Amino acid sequence: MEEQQHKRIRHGEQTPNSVDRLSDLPDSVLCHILSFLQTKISVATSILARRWRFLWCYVPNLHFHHANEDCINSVFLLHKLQTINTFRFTDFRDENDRVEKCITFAIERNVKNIDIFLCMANLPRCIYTCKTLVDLTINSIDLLPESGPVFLPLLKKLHLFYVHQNGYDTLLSGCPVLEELLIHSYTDYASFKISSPTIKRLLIDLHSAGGESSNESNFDYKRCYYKLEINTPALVYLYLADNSGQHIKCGPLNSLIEANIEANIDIDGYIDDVVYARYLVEFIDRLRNAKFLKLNLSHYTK
Amino acid sequence: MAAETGTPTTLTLKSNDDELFSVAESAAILSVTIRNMVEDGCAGGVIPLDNVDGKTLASVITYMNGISAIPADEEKKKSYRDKFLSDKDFETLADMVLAANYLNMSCLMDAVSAKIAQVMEKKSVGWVRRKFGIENDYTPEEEAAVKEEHKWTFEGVETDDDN
Repeated sequence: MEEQQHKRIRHGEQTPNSVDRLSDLPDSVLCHILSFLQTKISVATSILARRWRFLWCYVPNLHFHHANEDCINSVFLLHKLQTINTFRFTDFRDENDRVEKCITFAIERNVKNIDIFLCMANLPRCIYTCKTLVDLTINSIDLLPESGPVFLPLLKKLHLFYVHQNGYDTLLSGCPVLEELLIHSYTDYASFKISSPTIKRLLIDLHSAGGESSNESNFDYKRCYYKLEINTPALVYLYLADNSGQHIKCGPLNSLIEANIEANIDIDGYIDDVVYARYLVEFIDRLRNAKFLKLNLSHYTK
Repeated sequence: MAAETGTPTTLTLKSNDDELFSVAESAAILSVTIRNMVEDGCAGGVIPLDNVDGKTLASVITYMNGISAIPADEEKKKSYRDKFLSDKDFETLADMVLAANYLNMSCLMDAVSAKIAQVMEKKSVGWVRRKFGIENDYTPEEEAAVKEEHKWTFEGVETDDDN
């Protein structure tokens, strides 16, 4: 108590008690706070005081945002933990060497979660055979491996934004415990199949790349005419936003509890509505076990 | 327990300034510290929480009640947390992180830590030192050496600005 009062005097009478106690927080809590900062900024906290000089070296998350070579080299040299919890890499320049170096480092440090946001990249193959990865997010116009080894034995959560559809098959077959798959994508040129005996949550958000310019008369709607196949018998939750006129083929969904379906399309003039309606009815029939079902077919009924 | 008897069990929590709070056990056990006490049978009377003051505890209980009323929907929980923390000033956040750490409530700990990090990110070195009660114990030479070591991170950073 005496010590607290002493500190309070030292920091001035307006300083609330919590501030004095913040300085007494254990390193583990301070590292936890630092883990929410970009790595560049968590390194900058080394200037605060002696106690903080090497604190950032024990922060379990690394987040490189537009990081330059000096930053990356320095962090790789000094960071102390053998296990990285989350590795986040966001950049809008396309420098494959840097990307490869960073991902390889993270994988060597037994990374659990990887979150990549890049314009376009060729991710190093080692990311697809990482034995420690639990959660992977790729936001990049990337090509998935269509052949060769894919094995992510611990991967539970996979989020893909704008990743090219060719290769979903190979990727999913190498994820024996996957529980959640999110696909957010343009769909204009591909048909794809999602097949997994373990997926419980599936979120698919598809929209046409021509969506923004769909009023233009020269947009070729026929390009949207393709097929989505879902074969996920363990599914519990399904979200499907179909903004581009899908043909959906779906296997049994006996464990389904909740489904949220949006078919926001204006079919007039560019889709064979009889065929589309038949697919849609068959698909909706697959959702019959759901306890909660949200259907938004507003554009369809128009 | 609550589910078995049909009547919700209520716990009484006592802050370090002797305020008493009633809270449903199902909400209170979001705190691993409290859950352990309940499981060890130490929750019969009043549970003293020596490291949390009344004002902070009231806030934590609001959070416990709010978040446990939301069913398993991560999106809704996240938006509740964001809203809950949106009007809290730094001092309150500091109290909350200390309380969340003491009470071992990982979801609150994560949310508050993220919020503190978000606030820190935009502030000067002087501000962070003041708010965290950090005394700069570097010699000028040491400080210069640290700046030199990580030159790339201090470019454009005002290291002695008090804003």
